Parts: sequence; structure tokens; C-alpha cells
Amino acid sequence: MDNKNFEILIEKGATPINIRWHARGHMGFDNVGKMIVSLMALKNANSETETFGDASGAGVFGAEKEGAPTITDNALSFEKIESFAKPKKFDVKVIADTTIEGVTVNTDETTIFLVNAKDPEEIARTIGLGPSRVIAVDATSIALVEMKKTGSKTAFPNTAVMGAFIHIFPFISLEELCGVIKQKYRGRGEDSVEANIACAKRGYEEAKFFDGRGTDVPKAKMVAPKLLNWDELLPGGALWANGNMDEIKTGDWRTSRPIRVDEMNADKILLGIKKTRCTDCMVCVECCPENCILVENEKVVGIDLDYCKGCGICNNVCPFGAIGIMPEAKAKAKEKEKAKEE
Amino acid sequence: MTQEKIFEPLTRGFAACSGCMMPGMARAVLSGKPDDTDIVVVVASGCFVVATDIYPRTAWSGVSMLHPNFETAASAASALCASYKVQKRKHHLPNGNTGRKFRVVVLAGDGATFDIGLGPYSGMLERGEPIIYVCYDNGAYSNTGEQSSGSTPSHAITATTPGGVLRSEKAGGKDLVSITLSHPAVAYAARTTFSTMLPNDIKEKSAAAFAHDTGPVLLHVITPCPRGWGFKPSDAYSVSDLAILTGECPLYHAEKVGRDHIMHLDYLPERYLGGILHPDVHPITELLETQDRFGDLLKRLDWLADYQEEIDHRWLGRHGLIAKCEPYGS
Amino acid sequence: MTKKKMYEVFEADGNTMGAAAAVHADTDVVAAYPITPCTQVAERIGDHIKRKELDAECLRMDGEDSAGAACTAASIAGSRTLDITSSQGLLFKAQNLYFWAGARCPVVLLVATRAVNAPCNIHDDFSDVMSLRDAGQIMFFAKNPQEVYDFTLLGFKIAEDPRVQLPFEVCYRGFKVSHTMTINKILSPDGVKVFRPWLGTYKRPQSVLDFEHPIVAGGLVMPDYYIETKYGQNHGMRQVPAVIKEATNYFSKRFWPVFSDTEEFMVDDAEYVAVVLGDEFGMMKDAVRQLRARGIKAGAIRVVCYRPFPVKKIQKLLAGKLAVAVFDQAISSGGPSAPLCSDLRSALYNSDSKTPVRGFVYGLGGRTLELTEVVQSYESLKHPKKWIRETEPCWIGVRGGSDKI
Repeated sequence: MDNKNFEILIEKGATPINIRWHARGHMGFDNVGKMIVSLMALKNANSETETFGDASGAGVFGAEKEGAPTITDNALSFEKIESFAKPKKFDVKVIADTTIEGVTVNTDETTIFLVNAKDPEEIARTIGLGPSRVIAVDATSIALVEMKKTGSKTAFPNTAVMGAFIHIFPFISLEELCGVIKQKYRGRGEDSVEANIACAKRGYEEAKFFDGRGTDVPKAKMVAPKLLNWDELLPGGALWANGNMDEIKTGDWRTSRPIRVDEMNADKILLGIKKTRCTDCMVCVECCPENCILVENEKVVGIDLDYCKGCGICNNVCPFGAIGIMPEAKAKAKEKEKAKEE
Repeated sequence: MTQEKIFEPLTRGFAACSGCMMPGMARAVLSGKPDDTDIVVVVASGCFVVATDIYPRTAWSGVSMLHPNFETAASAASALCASYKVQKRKHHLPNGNTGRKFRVVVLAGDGATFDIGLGPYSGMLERGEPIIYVCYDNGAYSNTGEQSSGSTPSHAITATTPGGVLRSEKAGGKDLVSITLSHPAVAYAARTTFSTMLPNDIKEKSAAAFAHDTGPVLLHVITPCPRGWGFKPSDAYSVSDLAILTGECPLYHAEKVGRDHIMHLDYLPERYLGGILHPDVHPITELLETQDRFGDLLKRLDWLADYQEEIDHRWLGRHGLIAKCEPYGS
Repeated sequence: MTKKKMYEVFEADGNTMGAAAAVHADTDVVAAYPITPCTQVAERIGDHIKRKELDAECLRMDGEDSAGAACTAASIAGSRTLDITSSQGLLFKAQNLYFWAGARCPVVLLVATRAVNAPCNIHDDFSDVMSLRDAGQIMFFAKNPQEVYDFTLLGFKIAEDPRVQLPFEVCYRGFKVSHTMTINKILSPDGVKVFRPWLGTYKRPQSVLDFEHPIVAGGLVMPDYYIETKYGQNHGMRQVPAVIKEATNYFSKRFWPVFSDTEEFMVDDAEYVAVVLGDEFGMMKDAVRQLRARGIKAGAIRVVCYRPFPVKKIQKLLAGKLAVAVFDQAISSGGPSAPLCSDLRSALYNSDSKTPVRGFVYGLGGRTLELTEVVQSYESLKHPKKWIRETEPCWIGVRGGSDKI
């Protein structure tokens, strides 16, 4: 396993190592932050001096809505951690969902990326991680397989990612990681513990490494929003009611996409304007919470993908079964295919 | 029907959960605004304001919104009415005396209304300005993590009633419409929700709310919450329909006629057809099974029996809905 | 028009004068909840409205917090707004003071100051207003019913100034000022005709009632912007001294003299100076006269404008004095000094002053401060070595208390 270049050695007296986990709700990553802290606590308990090191973990409080991107931060140190301010640069960035935007912010060429993906070089080029070290682990697939095996419903991709994660920190052993996982998940039953430990072990074994330093891997351009000065603001924190929230494309939150079902070929999914079962009854338009089903000349013509969150209500309420649901990653892939054909 | 509506007060990009029914609720309750009326919306702290106003962006477009301290949305609304009145009399309204009508609409969750805001809410009703108070009710303080509120149903699991511990008020949550109707000035009060069976209920009641301008109005909108109730985001309408069918979510409205508040049922579940109990028709378990928050209730037969009785009593009790409302369909 | 016609004589107590000012300032909205001893302001305003002397909307509110929120909304809607309260009511309303300051609402708040539970006491004290001196409002302390009237009138002018846009609090002692009738001046009808155009109508640059330019007010602001909005608010406070001077200069010329930051009595050549707020200043003057008769060079200062604190003025007034006594009718239990003394010592610290300052606590819950106690306090200033190491204020007049003047 070619992981020697991917180790970060924590030194005594040095500033803490900062880790950021990018995920979405319901992937289990709020627990990861806590498990990292527990890992360090375990090391303290097992060491002779009981002061092996210190760790802190916190979720970043924002719009934690279903599907919205979430952030969890950890700091690791062999000294007492005394500052809880947000660091300007992260030593490790974990990307649990590759559709999340803005993951290269606060990084430099020394940052190690750990991504929930099949191939590290491919994902580095796709996302634009720049010439960096990248570890890839197919955590979603691992979790699905282990879930099926044990019949458990609670094998989230987080533990597989953690298995790969410990390659970066040689002072943590796989055994210690499994110990913490057992502690965390024992409340959910034996099969949950079994599944998550299996995920962690597979994540560790199946991690792939790509040292992109010095290569031509592009870095995605981050445009920082312009922040105004105090005297450029309306007094009292007021805002003009000009609806500028439509600058936030909540379509980014989508993990599944509504699509039109072709009546003739029930298993062949079409994207686009062709209509078959749809009778323009407008029930979906009325029921869509985001008001993003598009209508022209009293006909339903499509979905505003900038804002569709993929909730699936349209699929649920359509009286004619004219709307189906497809995982977003698959839908994006099909879009790419279609674009190539044209 | 086209996409370009003249009055579209909220843009997309609404920062609410996937499948949240709040945006639909807001559009529906404002849909009844007549063209000759200007409004200001007062929003109490909760999911709604967080979803529509995160500096420097807002989802509000063309409508002013005020977010006062948490429990005081109703008080602020009263003062907006008073301000409009006095500035009109003294001829210093910002746009001059245009001759247009003016209404204040309050959007407040059950957290802001049933508990900390109940005093101010009552004060507002008693002062009698024609404010439209919309309580979007999902039975918990959602924005802060689903803590229980004065509207949480008996035995529901929330962050502060884990295990669905029986709450001290055995009779379940407070009845907001009843509390409201005990204030003589109230012009109209309605309970409504989303439904494929009565798809226009909220919009019709919104129109009625704007039409009743002689006193305060309540729109109590039961708003399903996928995150708080524990169901898939796509299932909001199925859950809502079941709530209506099982009688857990009654739909009715009351209008002031003379000195009385006359109540009308908008839907009579088959379970209570003819004013008698049909125990095998749509038992409450049909609804409870759709939501994780009733997980503990479903495990306890004694609680289930108690809860079923509670629901039935709401309809068939001595002062239940069937007794209080005008004959169904009249 | 001679100066005489600008006013008429009016016998009234502090509450009644506050109401009269609300009338002359053409207030739009009054949203108040009664509490002893401020209630009569609202009652008098109600009488004025009934007699058609004022056209305003008076809201019957269900609590002080509700009243505060009503004032917030009225102000954000562009109405000239007045609120009144005391003691428990002020604390219940507390969050609204911060809201007014942060949302830039020029609400004028009259506080008939009163002790705060527990124990329950309805008499005068400054504990209520001192607990909220950080909330961001302008604070003036009135020494008599006349000043309640003057500062309320001026309060609207100063608060609504586009450079300021901050709440304005007029503090006056419960019962001693609120319920004591004195002979006062109020604007005559001719005076009102001159005053009102100068005061103007309240023009809020952004209003929720401006349907052509709708705004969103009071929404969420995250760490990336919050401190900038607060800086804007504080910037308003920094403009206040200049705005006060303009207003008081005009008023003093056109109508009658008013104070803008401090009032002094025989301070120029004094060696020992007492500093106090409000009507207790009268007692200080009596003590000064007695001490001067015995050859002790005493003087007294009354802080009139407490927020913004007149730092430079205090530094100038106390430069070269031998010792200063600060009298607080409020406490900061566990702190090195009580509120007024804290602010004064801070003001002197960053100056060349080496003047020793002694802090006293007196009169909590309406206990009368005796002239003999004041004289004693002054005399103690002659021996700083005896008290310079005090780590907290000296409590005056406590039966069996261990603090010695």
C-alpha cells in the first residue's frame, strides 16, 4: 500500500492539525467529528501518562436542512487545544459527497484530500483538486454491500471513509478505530456494529492513493463573494426585499432528480420535453414546494433544475405516474451522454 | 395558468429542507390577497425566517417583512396597523394616501404561538385589528432541533419528549382555534392543511381571510415536516391525506355572525359518518405508521387506545366538533 | 415674537410633563403597559387624545415586552413612537432596547426609575436603568419635572436625526420626580408653532410601509456581517454629542436654557467634588454651601447625559481636584465600583489625572440620603489614605452596616 507520502506526523509543540469533513445530512458525518475526539480520548486512556494528546470536534452551524451540505471540523494535537477559532487552512479535507461545491476553499498544496469516490486521480481531475495528494475510497458502495450482508439499516458511508482516514495518522491503529466504532454504534444493535466495523476495515484495505503533487491536475477556481463595508450597508441590518435569495441554487442539494417516464418503454428514461402520461393536470405544479415545475401556455414543460431539491413530492402526487425519480449522479451521467450525442 | 403570476412574494432558493411544506404554505396563504391590498408580513423566529432571510440575501420580493423578537410577532403586527392608521390620518404615509387597503399578515410557527407567544397573541386578538395570523403548525420547535411545543400531539417523540413520554396535559395539545374564538373581536378562524382530497382548502381559506376585514383572522395551517415527523420528503401529501381521513387533522372554519362564531366542518371523516363512531374505518394507526415520531406510541397498546379515544373524543365528545359545528354539508 | 410668548407656566409633576412633551412633539404611536410609578404618563396622554390635543394611536398592550415590540414595529414603520416603563417592566422589555439600537429605531423611552425585585419595592432607585446601560440607547437623567419635559422634546429631535437613529431614554426618579408637582414652563401654542417645524416629521429612510421600496428588517445576520452593522450603530452613537449640542444650542436660544452634558455647582475652584445623577444634585448643592461656609472648597457635578458618557468634559472638570466622591443609587455587586463610579473612573484613567475617586452607594429602594451623610462623605475626601485601598463602594446609611464613611 503506497501510503507513506500520505502521512501527517503530529509534532509536540506544534499548532494543531485541522481537518474538515464536507458531507450532507444523513450521511453520518456529525458522528464522525465526535468519533475522532473519542479516538484521542481512548489513546489518552490507554497511554501511561493519560495525556497522549487532545482533540476537538464541532459541526459548523448553518442551514442544516435536509439535503443541504454540512461541515464538521476536527483539530488534533499533542498539546492542549485552547483555541476554537476557525482555521484559515485545513491540513486534511474529506469530501463525502462529490456533488458538494466549494470544497477546495481554505486549502493549499500541502492539503490531503480524502474523497468518497472510486478513483483518486479521476476524481481529482473531475472536481479540480489541484496538484495535491488524494486518497479515494468507494465508501458508498462499501456501505451498501455491508448493509445488505448484515441486514442492518445503519451502515452509512462515514465509517468506510474513516477506515481510509487513518492512513493519514499513523498514531491511530485500525483496532482503536474499530473500538470507537463499537462504542458509538452499540446502542443501535449488534448488526449495526458488525456492519460499520466491516466498512471501516474495507475502507482501510481498499483505499487508493494518488500523489498529484507536481502534476497538471487543475484546481477549481474559487471566487470569494465580495463582502461590503459597514457604511455600504442599510442601517440596522435591513435589506431591500428584492428576492436575491434566488442566487442560491438549491438545486445543488439534490441527490435524486424527477424525470418523465415514457409510457412505451417503462424502463427507458427520457429527459426532455416529450410527454406521454402527462395530461397537464397541474397537480405537480401546485404541490411542488419550490414552485419550480415550469409551465408554458398551460402545459407542463419541465423542471427548473437550479432549484429542484429532489424531494420527490411531484412523483408522489402525480395521478398518472408521469414522473419518475432517478439518482442525481445517474441523471448527470445521462445528461453528459446526451450532450455528447448532440 | 402561467408561471408569471402578478403577485409572487417569494423567490425560489428558499433555504428550507427538501420536501418542507413551508414555501407552499406561504404561497398558499398569501394567494388570497386581493389586488387592491398592500401587505406587510411579520414573521416570528423559526424555520421560516431562517429560510427566507440570511444576510445579505432574502427570498422576499416586493413585500416588506419584519422579524421582531421571537414571541412578539402579534404585538408588532398590532403596532403596524396603528402606525398605518395614524400616518394616514396625519398625511405622512411614505407613498401618500393611495386609497388602497392595508393588511398585516403574521407568519408564526406553533412554537412561537402556543407557548411563549400566547400572551401577546391573546392581546392582539383582544385589540381587534384585522390582522391575518397564520400559524404554520408542525407540532415542534423545528428550527432549533424539534423540541416539543404546546401543539405537540400526545406521545410524539421530540427532542424534549424522547420515548414519547405522556405529557402532563392528558388531553393533548391546546386547541388554538378555540382559544382564538374566545376573543369576541375575531372575524374568522380556520384550520386547514395540504391535501390531494381538498387541494384548494388553504387557498380558499386565504381568500376568506382577506375578505374578512372586520377583525382578527386565524389561519391554523397544519404543515407536515419530513424531518420532524420522520417520513420521506416525497410523502408529505400522503401523510396529510391520512391525517384528514383518520380524523387526526380536522378541517373546519368559523365565521363571526352577529355576536356568534358559527363553525362549519369542511370534511367529515367516514369514521364519524352520521355522528357515530365506525371503529374499523381509518383507525389512527394508519396515520401513526407513516411517521417515525410515533414509534414509541405504536409499541404501547395502552397509549394507542388512549390516543384513539382522544381523537374520537375530539369529534364525538359532548363539546366535540360534531356538536359545535353546523350540520355537515349545510 | 418675544421670548415670553414661547412658553406658558404649568404646574405639574414629572409624569404629567412627560405626557405634555409627547403632545407637543406630535407623537404618532404610544404603546405602553402600566407600572408604578410611570403609569400616569400614559393616562395623561389618553386625556390629551380625548381632548383632541394630540392625534396619536394609543395601543393597549398586554405586557412590557409586547409594548417594546410594538414600539419597534411602529418605529420601523416610520411612526414617532413613545414608550414608558419602570423597574420590572424595563427588565421585561430589555431585549427591545437592544433591538431598537440595533435596528436603528429612534423610540423615546421614559423611565420613572424604581428599585428592582427582590425584595419588591416601588420607590426610587437607579438599578433598573443601570442594568441596561450597555444596550445602545442615549440616556439622559432629568433632575426635575421641567427636565423630563425638555429632554423628551429634545429626545425626539436628537434620536430621529439621520446621523443618529438611536433610542433615547429619559430617566427620572420614581415618586420624587414623577409624582412631585413643581412650577414649570411648557411651550405655549406660539412656542409649539415654532418648535414643530424645527422638530420636523420623522422621516425614516427605509420603512416597511413604503410599498414601493419594500424592505426586510430584523432578519438574520451571520458572523460575516454582524459586526459591521453594530459598528454602524455605534457610529451613530459617536455622532450624538455634536447632534445634542446643535439641538440644545438652538433650544436654549429660542426657548429656555437646557443642559447638554453636565451641570456644575462651584466646581471651578473646588478641591473636593461630588458627582451624582438626577435630583439628588439639590442635596449636593446644600452640602456644598454648608461646607464652603466652613471654609472647605467643595463643588458638585451632575451628569446629565450619561450615554454617551461625557468623557472629555469630566476629565476637564476634575483636572487638578484633590479628591472626588461618586454617589450611586445602584450597585454592581462583586464589582470594584457601582455603575456611575465605574464609568467615571474609566474616564479619568486615560488622562493625566491622578485624582483619587471614592465610590458610595446610597438610597436603594427610596431611602432618603441625609445631608449629614453627604457632608460626612465630603469630609472623608480630605483623608484619601483612609479609603484609597477600598475595593468596593462604601454603603451609606445601613443600620448595623460595617462600611464607615
